[in-house]
Amino acid sequence: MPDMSAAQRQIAYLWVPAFGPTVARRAQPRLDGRPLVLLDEHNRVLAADLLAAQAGIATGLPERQAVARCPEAIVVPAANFPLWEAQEAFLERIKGYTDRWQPNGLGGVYLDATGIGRPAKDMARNAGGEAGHALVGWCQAVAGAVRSLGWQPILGATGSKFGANVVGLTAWQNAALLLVPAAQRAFLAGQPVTTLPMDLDALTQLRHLGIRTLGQYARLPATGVLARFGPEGRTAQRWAQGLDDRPVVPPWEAPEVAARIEFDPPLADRERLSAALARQAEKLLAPLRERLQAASRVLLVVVRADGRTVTAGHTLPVPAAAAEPVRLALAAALDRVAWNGQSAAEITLTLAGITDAPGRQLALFDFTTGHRTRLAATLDRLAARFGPDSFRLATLTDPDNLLPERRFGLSRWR
Amino acid sequence: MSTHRQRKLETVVTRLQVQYGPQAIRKTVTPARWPPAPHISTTFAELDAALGIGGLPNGRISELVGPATSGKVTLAAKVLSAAHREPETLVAWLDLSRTCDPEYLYRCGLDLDRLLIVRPEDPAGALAITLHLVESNTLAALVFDGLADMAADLEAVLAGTLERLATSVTLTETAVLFLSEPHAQSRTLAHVAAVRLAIHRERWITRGPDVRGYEARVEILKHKLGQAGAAVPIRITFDGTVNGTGL
Repeated sequence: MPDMSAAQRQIAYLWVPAFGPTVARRAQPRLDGRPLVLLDEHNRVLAADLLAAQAGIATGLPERQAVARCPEAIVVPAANFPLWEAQEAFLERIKGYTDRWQPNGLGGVYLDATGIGRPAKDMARNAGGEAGHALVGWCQAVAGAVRSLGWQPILGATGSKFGANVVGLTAWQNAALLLVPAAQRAFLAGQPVTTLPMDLDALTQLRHLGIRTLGQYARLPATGVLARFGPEGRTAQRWAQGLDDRPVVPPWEAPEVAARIEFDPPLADRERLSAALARQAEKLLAPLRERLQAASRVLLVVVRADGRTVTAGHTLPVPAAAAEPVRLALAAALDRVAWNGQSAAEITLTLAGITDAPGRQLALFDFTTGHRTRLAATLDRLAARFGPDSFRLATLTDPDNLLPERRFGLSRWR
Repeated sequence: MSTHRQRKLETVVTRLQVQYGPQAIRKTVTPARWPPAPHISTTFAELDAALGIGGLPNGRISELVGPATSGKVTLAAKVLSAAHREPETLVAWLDLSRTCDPEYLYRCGLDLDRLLIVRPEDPAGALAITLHLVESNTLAALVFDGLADMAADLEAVLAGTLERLATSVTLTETAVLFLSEPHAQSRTLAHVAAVRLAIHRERWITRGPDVRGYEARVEILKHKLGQAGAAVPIRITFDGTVNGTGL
């Protein structure tokens, strides 16, 4: 693939808000009316709707923490609903518009639009407004194809994957936002630092240091960022500077990494096998974390003591590079191996479907629906406990009255 | 530092790192290379300059100590009005003593549509509400007025809440201001507060028989993010609106 500079590339990010919960509600309308959380097979949050996300529920959270953060939420297993069928149908519609597309979690997809028309001359253009531009027309067509399935997609486009992701998430109110690649850095500078897929510790450190925006993070000295946050922090800083050169990688081209472990003598003890696999997996995961990548699938090719080769695999519900989700996936794959009473002489561990690490922290610190909506949710809970009359809004009713206490009235907060 | 002393220092540092690990001692990054702490202006330019960071810090607890009519309510109200300059920001006034005057707050520059007035039934409820509101991370600033009304037997509850609040607030954007009086200060609050200001009125500004305002002095008793010790005069005038200038 030719090396495209950021100024030449055009990448679009199309996403459907609360895709998973919407599929669930279409299947079971009784789930309406309360926050909804879908769990994966390991009882961790796979997807959450708007209300649940406002309460701080993010992908990957254990079930108990999710329930503690939002006691009124309905928590159901995702396996009860045809999520993956809906995802397949969604992606099928996209495929006709570009041969380079890359899924990003449920209801999200990157599209490589490089070469479709020229970049827009203006700073930003709403695709719902002027037509007559090839890229705008293409975005409208793609969004229209997804809309025909009954979804309301939101689309953002600019010169890099990270930029397109942020633009797409910011386009919440406008349904689409297209940005000239050259204007990407200026746009990113004002965005919150929580858009970076960094872990909670790093984001908390940034908050303590007073770093709130991507612009502030981008201006930090590179050596300092590397020393404090490691190679992944430095990668994130380059993204904040608009220097994300990751290509859009279709699923059939997703790379994989592998390692082989020999057991002499052959090993049958499950605990020791799991420990050996976990150690080897960590060696493979560390470089992925530095590049802010994650694995979607684990594959085990086991050579048994009797010479037969068996394979087993497991797909992670959400791509991950953390030790714990991969350890659980390895355990699930080991359970699927047909041992037939044999030991393992050799295991080849493959982490496949290497893709971009999903961002996890948005819902925790920031959300697009506004402080007032979130405050209302908090006040609803507090009013139930302390009484609705504890929270008031003041209105000036007679500002010229001689008595100060008659100049205003108090009503319940709305 | 001379080359010889520098080399001796590096030898000592290396020996410590070998003995206790590389994390035991590290070089800090020059503070001047990091951006200033997020803050809300007090609207008094001299006071903002004396505080060093441009105002009272977000994500921290501040305490304003002063007797009645010293100007601490006005100063707190002006801080909230500065927060309201940002569109869509919300602020809260926790009115434990039931003395909040929204009309006065309006004249100080607050948008009443974005001011939540909290009137809890009891002090314990007030503390719990404060904690929940701060942890919701939906407010730009919160003023807790009525600390002096806390009974002495609630000191333990206050201490526990303040310690938890001191941790929670750092994960938010909210500036928390406690208004207290000199005779009823909390030792825990003095410990957890990042900024402590003492304010007292010095003289009234009159024109003939009319009181037009007053001059007060604000002393920085404690400042974790800057320099303490400075004392700044401020001038507050009543002119239909409540205006303030640093002198």
